[in-house]
Amino acid sequence: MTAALLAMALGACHTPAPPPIETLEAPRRTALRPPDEADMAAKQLAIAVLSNCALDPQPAIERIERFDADRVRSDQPTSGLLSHAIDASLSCIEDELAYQDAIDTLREMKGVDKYHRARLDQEVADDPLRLAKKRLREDKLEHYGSIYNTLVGPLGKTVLQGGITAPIGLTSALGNLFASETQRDELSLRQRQALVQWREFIEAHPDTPEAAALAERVARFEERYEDYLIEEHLDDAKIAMNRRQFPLASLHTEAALRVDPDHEEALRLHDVAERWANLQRGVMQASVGPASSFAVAAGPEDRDEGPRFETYAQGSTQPEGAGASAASTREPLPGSSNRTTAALWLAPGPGGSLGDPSIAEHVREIRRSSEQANLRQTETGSMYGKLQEASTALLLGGFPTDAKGKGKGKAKNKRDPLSDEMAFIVGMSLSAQGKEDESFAAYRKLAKTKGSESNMGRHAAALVNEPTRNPYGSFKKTKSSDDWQRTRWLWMGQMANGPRKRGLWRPVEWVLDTPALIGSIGGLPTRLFKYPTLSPWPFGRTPAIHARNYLERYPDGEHREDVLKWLQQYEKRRDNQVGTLEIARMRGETSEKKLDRMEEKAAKQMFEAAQEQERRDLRLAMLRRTAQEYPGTEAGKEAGLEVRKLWNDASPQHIRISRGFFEEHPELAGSRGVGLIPSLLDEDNRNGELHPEGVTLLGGDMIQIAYVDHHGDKNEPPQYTYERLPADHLARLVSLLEETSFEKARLDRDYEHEPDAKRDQFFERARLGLTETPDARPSAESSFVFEGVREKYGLVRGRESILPVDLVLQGSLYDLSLNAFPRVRMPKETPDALLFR
Amino acid sequence: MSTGGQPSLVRSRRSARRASSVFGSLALLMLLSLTGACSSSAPKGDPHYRAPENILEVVAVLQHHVPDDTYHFPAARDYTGRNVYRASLLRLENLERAYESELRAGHMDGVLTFSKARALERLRAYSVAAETYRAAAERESSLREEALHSAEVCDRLDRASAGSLYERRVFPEGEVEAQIPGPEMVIARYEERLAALEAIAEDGTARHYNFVALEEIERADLERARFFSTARHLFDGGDERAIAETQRLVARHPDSKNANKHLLALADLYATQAEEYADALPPEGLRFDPVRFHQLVSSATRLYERVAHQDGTPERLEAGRKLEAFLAFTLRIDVDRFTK
Repeated sequence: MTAALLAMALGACHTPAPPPIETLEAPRRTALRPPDEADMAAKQLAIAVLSNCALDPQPAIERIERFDADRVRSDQPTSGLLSHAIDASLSCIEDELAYQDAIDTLREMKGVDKYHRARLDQEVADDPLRLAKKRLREDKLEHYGSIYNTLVGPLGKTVLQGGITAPIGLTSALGNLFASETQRDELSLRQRQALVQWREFIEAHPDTPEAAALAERVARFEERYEDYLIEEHLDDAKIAMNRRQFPLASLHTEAALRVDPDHEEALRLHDVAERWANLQRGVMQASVGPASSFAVAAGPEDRDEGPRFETYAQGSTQPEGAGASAASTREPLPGSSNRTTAALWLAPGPGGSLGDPSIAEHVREIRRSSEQANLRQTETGSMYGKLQEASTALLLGGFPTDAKGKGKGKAKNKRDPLSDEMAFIVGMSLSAQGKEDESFAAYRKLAKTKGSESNMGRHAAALVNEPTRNPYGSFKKTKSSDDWQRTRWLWMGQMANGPRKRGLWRPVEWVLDTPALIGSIGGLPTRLFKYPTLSPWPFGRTPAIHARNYLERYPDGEHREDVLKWLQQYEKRRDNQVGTLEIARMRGETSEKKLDRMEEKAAKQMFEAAQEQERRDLRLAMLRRTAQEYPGTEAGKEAGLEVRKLWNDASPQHIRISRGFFEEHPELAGSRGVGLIPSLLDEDNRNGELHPEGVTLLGGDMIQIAYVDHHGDKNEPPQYTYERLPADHLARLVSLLEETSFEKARLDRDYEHEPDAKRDQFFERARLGLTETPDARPSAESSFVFEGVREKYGLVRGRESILPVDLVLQGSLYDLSLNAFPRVRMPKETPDALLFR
Repeated sequence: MSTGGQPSLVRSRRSARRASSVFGSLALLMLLSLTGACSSSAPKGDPHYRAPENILEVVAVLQHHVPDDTYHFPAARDYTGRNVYRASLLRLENLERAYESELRAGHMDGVLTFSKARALERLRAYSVAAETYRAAAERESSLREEALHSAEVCDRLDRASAGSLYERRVFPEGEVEAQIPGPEMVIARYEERLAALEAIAEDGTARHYNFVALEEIERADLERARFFSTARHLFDGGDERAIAETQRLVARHPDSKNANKHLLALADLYATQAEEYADALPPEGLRFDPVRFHQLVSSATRLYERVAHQDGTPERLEAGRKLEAFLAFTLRIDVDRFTK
């Protein structure tokens, strides 16, 4: 009894919606409406205009005017054609400036509807002179506004609260202001935008009085623009010089000289850069030469800490101490030609690589020649002989006895001229035996020798510092620097890399950013709290690259396990489940349970990534891969099902018109558009309701209509029915849809008719009735959604304030202060700003 | 025109040669008589007239841009950011279908067809435009004379521009494809094409077609330069010839809207030749000539830089990035073979 009552009560409260029997209205053919006076006048006007104004448009305008007057007299709405007619007739004005003035006048005219005015506004706003004026106005606002904004906060704090930190903040703000003003570009981006507009105007209207008036201003701006360019190039040149990239610096100075061939600073810097580049080349050449020549040429490359730009800019052509090096040149070594040959044998890379059989053969040839020249005889018993012995052993794939640690020829006497070559051979031999650490220890030791003492030190240094040859060293180095960076970030937050670079003396920059530094340090608890859940994980990228390089170069290296362990932790930390699993397998993880858990996580991650993929073919490929690689996991099974579903439900297009869009534009739902039966939009569940998902164009002539399910719940997934539209119906629908969207975009600034080439391609084909053969290419699929603005933004939409300022309320936990002040709202960046960077 | 009051990336400019017309002052006079009233927006008019209203709007926009000098300045864009001629064509097609029943009487057929032809000719669909003009001439007697004149010019343009290598129509059908044409033969074809186009450009009655013809002349010059660039490995001195032809293109069209593109093409050619040279004669080899390589590199760099300084043009970005990429390539060359 109770159950029956409950069932009755439930039945009374909820009326299930029956599935609709018919979804589309039967096509209706409206009666032919013969054109009336206004239609014919519009036609007359269009013809007059299209005939290049050979016919007078005025009579047509008067006809429309009379027609509207009659309608007003008989209490009927006007045709609304008059303003459009005048607009069309204005296209007969041949002078562009007069046309702009006329359009400007027209948009102020009574009787211009909102839609038409929006177009006229755009036309007027595009006038280059207006645009230039606007950009200059924005430039001033940006300049003075930023000065005001920099000072207003600290000033307010000082006035309202006083204390110690407030004046520090104000001083810092003043310093920042001073720095930014001194670093200000000669010509700002917005001024350059104005300059382009002026140039365009002058080019298009060279003989107008406006162009003549602009000429002087343009010349002034162009001069400043040239100064700006030179300044940019010279700044780049200085940076390059500080990095010892003298050829690049020379290139930048040349670019500056192309703008102004007589620019004094550019000429001077060019000269300095050129001389240093030549010197650098000399050093490079000498690196394979005998030690004597090498010592003479020792330049900036040979120092740990090179001179800064200021040193170069002083006009010095010789590195400090280069003269002294030249003066202290060693006496020519006995057998220096032998030394050169030895260096050639041992030099890594092209020309000296022992791994290359052709090179090895070449080296053997040199050796044979040397022997023929009785060199061996003169050097018998010397280090040279031992060196040759050791080299030969290496070339022939063995290990020199010396290099095994107890060799008779081990270079014990450091003053022996060939001891460095011998040490290098020892390093190579250890490396060949798989003793990575010992080998690099030998190279490192050799790398520490001064350039004037050993020519092999340079080659050893190259080996030690080259990340591809010493990946473990690079891994350790970058890991240590990454750890340090992480510590700095934890303590100093955004100030981890020091104060913002403003081109000032660094200590001054530190002083200027002191308040920011104090604030940053105060944020330590917050960072400690956030640290465990940081996403995306910002650390460890560089060491990970070197770690993977190491595993590739030394698959069975001495540090394989350490590196793998670190990599696994890293991948886990950055939530790369696939990577974690891969490393675990590389480490030989044996626990089935652990591996299963990891596989499940990896499959889930892959599945989720696949679902985010917009292109159908790529999504399919990723899902298939998930299902194939992780068949035993839940996510793998789900991916397999999803693949089947995608295959079954695949459609060439997926352009959706939401219910909200139909509600805002009922014409689209009616017989002129899709032709939905009106009951689908009457909010009555009993006769079926259109689901918020709406109607989807599936490609070809097929559409999918989504209904609210039988429970009448709009939040539940919909039920679908499918309909075919005749070609002319589809053509009408897409035409009306596009026109409606354009109109809305013009009237509602929250709505944008976003570009979508694939959608437009489908619409073009539909208009021409070419949808019989759907375009099945996955990349031709559009998933564009025509969505109602209310659906998108809700009932109350945010509006930008009409005030030119934003009110800022600022609180600081660090000094428990509160501050409130108005900030000038800066003009937004224009879309073409990227063309000026 | 632009979107939302923001400047469009490119804009059209009319020719400065245009003079004021009588109609302009008439329209202005009429406007002045109507001005002075409140400027608040009026409600939309009778929905029955939406079709003619929209057609007048499209005609107004299209006709305003018909005389545009599209040789010197880029084609205008409408408020949706599309090429104004293409946007007009698509809107006309939309209106034809969306207001099918309102236009069923056929009174606007001539206007719609003629307007579509005007848009089509600016989209380089000369033969379709000519056909459409002829259809308009049949449907609307008042536009007959203008339509037939335009159809005739479009036919001439179609014939003259039919030599495009890209469209594989440089040789009459059936003529040898197996054998590569010699430079003289190619030049003769292009000269012939140029003569026909120049005749249209200099024709006083052709009005806005002068600019269309100038665009076609530029296109022919571009194709000629491209031919020599593409086929430079096939002829003796092909590299030098390709550079000379591209330089000719740059020199002949310094005021074109595409001038920066041509400079980029020349820079690309130098850059490609530099890369090919380094591939063919590796810098570490004995036959590598640093002077020759330096010439190619410095020419490419100078040109890229020149374009990269042109504020407000998309080519600026392209040149900047290409310059960076090219400099990265030169960094691969040993410093003792190439210093900058």
